[in-house]
Amino acid sequence: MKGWQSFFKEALRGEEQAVARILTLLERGPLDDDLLKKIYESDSQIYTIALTGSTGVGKSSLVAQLTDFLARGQYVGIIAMDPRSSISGGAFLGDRIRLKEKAQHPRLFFRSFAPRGTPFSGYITAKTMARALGAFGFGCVLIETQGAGQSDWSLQHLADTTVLVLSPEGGDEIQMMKRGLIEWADIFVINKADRPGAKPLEYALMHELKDRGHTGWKPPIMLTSAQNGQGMDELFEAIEKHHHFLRTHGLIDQRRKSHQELECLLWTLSMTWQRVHRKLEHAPKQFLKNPYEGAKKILAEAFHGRKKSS
Amino acid sequence: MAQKGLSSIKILLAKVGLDGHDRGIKVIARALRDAGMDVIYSGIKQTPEAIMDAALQEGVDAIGISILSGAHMTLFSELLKLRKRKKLTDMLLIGGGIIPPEDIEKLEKKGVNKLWGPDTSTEDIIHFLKEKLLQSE
Ligand SMILES: Nc1nc2c(ncn2[C@@H]2O[C@H](COP(=O)(O)OP(=O)(O)O)[C@@H](O)[C@H]2O)c(=O)[nH]1
Ligand SMILES: [Mg+2]
Repeated sequence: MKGWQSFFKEALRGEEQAVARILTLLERGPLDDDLLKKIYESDSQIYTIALTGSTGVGKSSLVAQLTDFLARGQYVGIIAMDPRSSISGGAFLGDRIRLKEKAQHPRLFFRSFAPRGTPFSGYITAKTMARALGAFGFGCVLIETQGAGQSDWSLQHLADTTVLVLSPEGGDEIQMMKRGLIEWADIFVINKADRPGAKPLEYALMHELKDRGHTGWKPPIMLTSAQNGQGMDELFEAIEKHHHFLRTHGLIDQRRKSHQELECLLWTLSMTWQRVHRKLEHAPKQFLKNPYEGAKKILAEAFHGRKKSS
Repeated sequence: MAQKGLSSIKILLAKVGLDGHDRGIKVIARALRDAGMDVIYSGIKQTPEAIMDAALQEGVDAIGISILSGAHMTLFSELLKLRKRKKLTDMLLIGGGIIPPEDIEKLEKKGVNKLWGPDTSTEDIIHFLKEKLLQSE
């Protein structure tokens, strides 16, 4: 069995098989400190786009349609994240099926995954995979997600451009407002515009967004149909425009700095989670009577004598 | 990677051939998911090339093929060839459908890891995958 080092070298030469092996390590482990070091060091500044929204609004179908635009003259990576069932521990990764004939695009690499490990693994894995693809010379990465793990707020710092996808079917818009996504998505998409109800949703959204734009970016609302291709050119243009806006206003570095801060925080939480979980399993029953004091004891125990990084 | 030692299983399911019925494979997909696996369903009417490309990019442990059309000899031979060419021989190739026992024997000799006839229970499939792939306790 070859080590990750040789896969990494082959991946740099563009060997798809090796790219896949590295992503698999990031998805499923075992993680290697030096592999991560190598990925972070390469710091490729790859442009990342996130498509987010509820199940069934048409994210995967849009992603498939965007492939042709994004893969013009460059390699594009798509990372599709799906939730894992907490009961069975299994996951249905149903995004690839929407690619249809686009799956054979010569400059597309598509990986689906469901997070493993801790509630923070979704964000960390998607982000690390995107960075790896950047290191391997990909031009951009698209991340599809219903939310990064349990915490939607982390979505805000997942990509350079965040596209929130809604559809006229069912009270999505209210859902989104509740989740606060409305406050910081860069582009809004009302997909399934071939169905009734798109216009009223657009008006409601316009009303909701009327106070946004103080950073100089007024988030556009795009009407699309991934089914008949309506609005796809315009959506791609809006994405490019936003990218251009970030670059010309010096905002891209600022965004990436906040991504790094969050990555560091989530790694910290993830490591803490694992360590504390192990302690909790063996914790004496009386710890649970006062969960607050119990937590303090468990934290102290989990890190006792482990001050040096291992 | 398809040696014992995984804590869980990722599998790609695909349907080859021209018939468009995918109820059976969807039932299997759900059963495997409920058994704790990560299941990718790549759709109907998949070509061997498309299946192997998907398996490669997704980094799965196993590829499950459903075939009812009767062209199983050529299709599985093609899949075996591609699996080798793409250096994916550590991925299990399994399948099911209307395949006569003598053909099952022939294909398994050629390198298909396991084939089942039309009346397979999903438990058989789950048992096979877990035995081949999961860490033995
Ligand atoms: N009518 C219509 N259906 C769509 C459109 N986009 C996607 N769909 C359908 O909506 C369903 C869910 O799409 P999918 O892309 O998997 O949504 P996701 O869960 O957000 O990734 C599928 O049956 C698609 O065919 C659209 O623009 N119009
Ligand atoms: Mg999807």
